Amino acid sequence: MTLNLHERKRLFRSHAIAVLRGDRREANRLGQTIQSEHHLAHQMFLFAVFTAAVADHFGDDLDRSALARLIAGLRADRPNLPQLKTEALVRVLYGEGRLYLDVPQADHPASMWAVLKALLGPDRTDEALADLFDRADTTGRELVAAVFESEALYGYRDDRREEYA
Amino acid sequence: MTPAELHRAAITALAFGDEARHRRLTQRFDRHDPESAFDHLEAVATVCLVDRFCGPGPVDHRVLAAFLDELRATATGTAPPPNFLEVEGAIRSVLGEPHLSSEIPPGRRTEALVIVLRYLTDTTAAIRGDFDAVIDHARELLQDRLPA
Repeated sequence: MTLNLHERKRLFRSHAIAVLRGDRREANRLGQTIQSEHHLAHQMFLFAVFTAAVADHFGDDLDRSALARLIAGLRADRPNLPQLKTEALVRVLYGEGRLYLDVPQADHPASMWAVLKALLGPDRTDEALADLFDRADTTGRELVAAVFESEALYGYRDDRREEYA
Repeated sequence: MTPAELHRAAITALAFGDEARHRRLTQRFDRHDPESAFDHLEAVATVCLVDRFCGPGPVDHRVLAAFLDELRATATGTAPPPNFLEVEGAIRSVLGEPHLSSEIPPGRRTEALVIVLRYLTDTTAAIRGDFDAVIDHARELLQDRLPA
């Protein structure tokens, strides 16, 4: 099945909504339709949504005790989740970009979805989620542009972006 | 050498970076020895870390980040570079967050603790000057965990 850009975007969003609302059957069904040619795009989509939701929750400065509480909650609900890696993926967005390379790519989706589910809960309205995904689109575009327009390879949240403009 | 003396000599060689002597000594370990080389490494590293961070509890993340920066600075030229998230996890797991250890493969935990132990031995006069006292202290920790 070949998807155009809009169909793919709709598929990613529908899948994300099913995951976030805990609808496993639907999440699995939609997940299986995301074919390998779209895996890279899906990974970037997830990273953008993760970045947007984490920024919504923690703001500009990461309160490490708040992060510790989030991770402790995940540990209680999801004992098999790699919590050190999950914690690291949040810290990546707050000045510890080098940790990104210390977390195997294969571990990213489970950790990011778990954080998203914990931060967003199952009850967000369609409108609220659409708003989040729209902002994630913007975040994603900015991230990619910032990499290829700047020399700051790991500058996901590059405060000195004007220097490279 | 008794098994205890053998462990003592082996962990000393490991801490001081004498790899040839460490290899020779570990070949003489008894497979049925209830004390393991890893337990010794973990206990000795714990003693050194508690000493460095002035206590056994969870360490402040800024203090830990500064320590990891020191370790990173010494790791230049090694290939491949260590995974410093695993090094952080190995440190935190002996300083009050034992659940983190399950996330790090055992061999990598050993590597991480060796990096920490060598660095602290290298840079801390009190550890280098009386390593036997460090081992004595570590063996007290171990005795609490060994079957009677």
